[in-house]
Amino acid sequence: MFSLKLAWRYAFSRSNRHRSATLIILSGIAVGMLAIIIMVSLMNSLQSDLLDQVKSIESFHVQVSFISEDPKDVSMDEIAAALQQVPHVHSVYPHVNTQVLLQNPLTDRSTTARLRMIDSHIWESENPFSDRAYLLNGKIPNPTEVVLGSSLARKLGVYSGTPIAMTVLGSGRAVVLAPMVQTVDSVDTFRTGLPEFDESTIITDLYPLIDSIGPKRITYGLYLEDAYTDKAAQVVDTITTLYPHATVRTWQQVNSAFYSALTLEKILMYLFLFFMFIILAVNMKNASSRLLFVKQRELAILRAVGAQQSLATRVLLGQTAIITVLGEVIGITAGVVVGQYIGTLFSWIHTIQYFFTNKSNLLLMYPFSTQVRPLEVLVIAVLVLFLALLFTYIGCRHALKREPMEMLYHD
Amino acid sequence: MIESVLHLTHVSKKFLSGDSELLILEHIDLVLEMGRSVAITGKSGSGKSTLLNLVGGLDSPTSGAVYLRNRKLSDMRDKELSEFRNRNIGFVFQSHILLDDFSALENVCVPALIGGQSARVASQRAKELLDRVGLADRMNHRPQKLSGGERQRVAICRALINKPELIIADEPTGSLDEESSGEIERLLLDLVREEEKTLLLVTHDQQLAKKCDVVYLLHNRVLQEMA
Repeated sequence: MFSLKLAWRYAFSRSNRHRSATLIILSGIAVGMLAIIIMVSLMNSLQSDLLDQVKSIESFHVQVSFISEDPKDVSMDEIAAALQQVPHVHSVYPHVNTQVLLQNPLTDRSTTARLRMIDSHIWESENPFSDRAYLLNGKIPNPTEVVLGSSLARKLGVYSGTPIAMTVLGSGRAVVLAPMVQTVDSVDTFRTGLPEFDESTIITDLYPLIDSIGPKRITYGLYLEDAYTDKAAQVVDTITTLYPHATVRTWQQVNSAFYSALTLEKILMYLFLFFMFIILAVNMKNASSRLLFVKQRELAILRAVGAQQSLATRVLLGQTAIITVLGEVIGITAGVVVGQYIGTLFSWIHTIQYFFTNKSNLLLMYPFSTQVRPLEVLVIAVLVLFLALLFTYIGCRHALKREPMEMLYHD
Repeated sequence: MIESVLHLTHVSKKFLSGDSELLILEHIDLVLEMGRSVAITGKSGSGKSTLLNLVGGLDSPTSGAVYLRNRKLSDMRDKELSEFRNRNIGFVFQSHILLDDFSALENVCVPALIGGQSARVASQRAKELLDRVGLADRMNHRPQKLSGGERQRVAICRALINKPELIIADEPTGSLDEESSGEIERLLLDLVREEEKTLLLVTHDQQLAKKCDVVYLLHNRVLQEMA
């Protein structure tokens, strides 16, 4: 208790040079923690948002296909119904993705795109796709109509009601695949928040084209209950038991290259974090040396009146712990608060930048948010505290090797 | 037979000054008897303070040994030496060194609290001592608010709180004006006598030295008893 009381007094000493040292160190730790928390939570949020978009828009949570063997004795609807009964499956969407050539006859502009043929109810029913994707004019396509991604529509110069010539490769009579040209009406454009999807995708209803495309190319996209989106092993096992010849892939497997890139990015983020820790550690080593330097006289007095080295060490470790924990609490609180309003903050910065340069900054316009993970914060805080205590301990051992009077004379 | 509290045998102390060694004390022998007051005088830089630090276990001799109550200080480990110092030695430094962040009362209590006494008992004894040195109404002031003389009185109280056998005072009046010096001298000697302590004092002040039972002169690294 006595050492704790001494530590508290020393941490907030009324002596000016001590107090300013404490405040500088405390501020340094708080700012360091703030920077780390904001960076980590921003990266977490960006990655999580991107992954959510990928699995909600691009690839579903699980995909089931029957490439190797046709389920000849059951229809598409029966398979969809059976998959819907699998535990933890939220909804099932049979769909086909195929490459098409699009041409706007009015402007002669053409481009390749990916045609997704899917039940139009996906726009209306409650599912992760409809949570994120929206039609700009709210017009759900009829079976003979299509909707284009907003960027794709812009590229082709297509507006609502523009007819589009769409060339699809279908099963031919004389050859395996034959090009089929259809003219379809573009009734609306959509946005999903996933730029790659909006730039490359055209969506239409599955049923009118299913006969010409062939049932072999149907993939069943499954959305799972929220708790199982990243833990789909149980669902995959059940489906594999149900359809041993089916190919069942999770969204991580479907997007393996992208997922690996994100994992690599996360590793790089931790590497960056490690370097930030090195910088923080160097600062903390200097801070510990400064704390020890300004406390040498006190240490010498305490030693002269009978304090053991262990008591002096406990006092300084206690002082470091108090300053570090307070700095961390301030830094974490500030990090959470700033994170909460990061969008507003960037918006202000954007307004100021726009005021002075008259130019928009797309990066600052992005709807940033943060995702603070308590375990991550705890690990960072414990690591920072550990480093601070370690440097203080090393400094203490070094300082206390000297005789008390040598320390007094030094002062 | 008078019991000895402290004795030094062939104590030498060297300091490193750059590449060369500086011999400060050479083969010092000293016996300090219980209840006596001993003054050591000498020129500035003669090694008086160094000798005092060796006696108090605040520094270690290059050769020779310091025995306190027949215990060789250099044989003690840090824990033992610290406890020993806390219980048996009271220090009064030249520049009335106090802890700036603590009140006069708390400064006096520190050795007692380090020694494991309860805060209540330590505070009671500290108040008695501060009352005796005339600081009853200043005990809650921090050192910055006290005069030099008052700080030295606090330092004397701190030295006495654990009722040590030996009081070591290094130029206790060195940084005070004449009036305060006289007051501190009187207080120190009176308290030491009242509490029946042994006093080892280093001073330039011949008048103060003469008030002690034995006076030594430290000259040319050697200690000589003066008549």
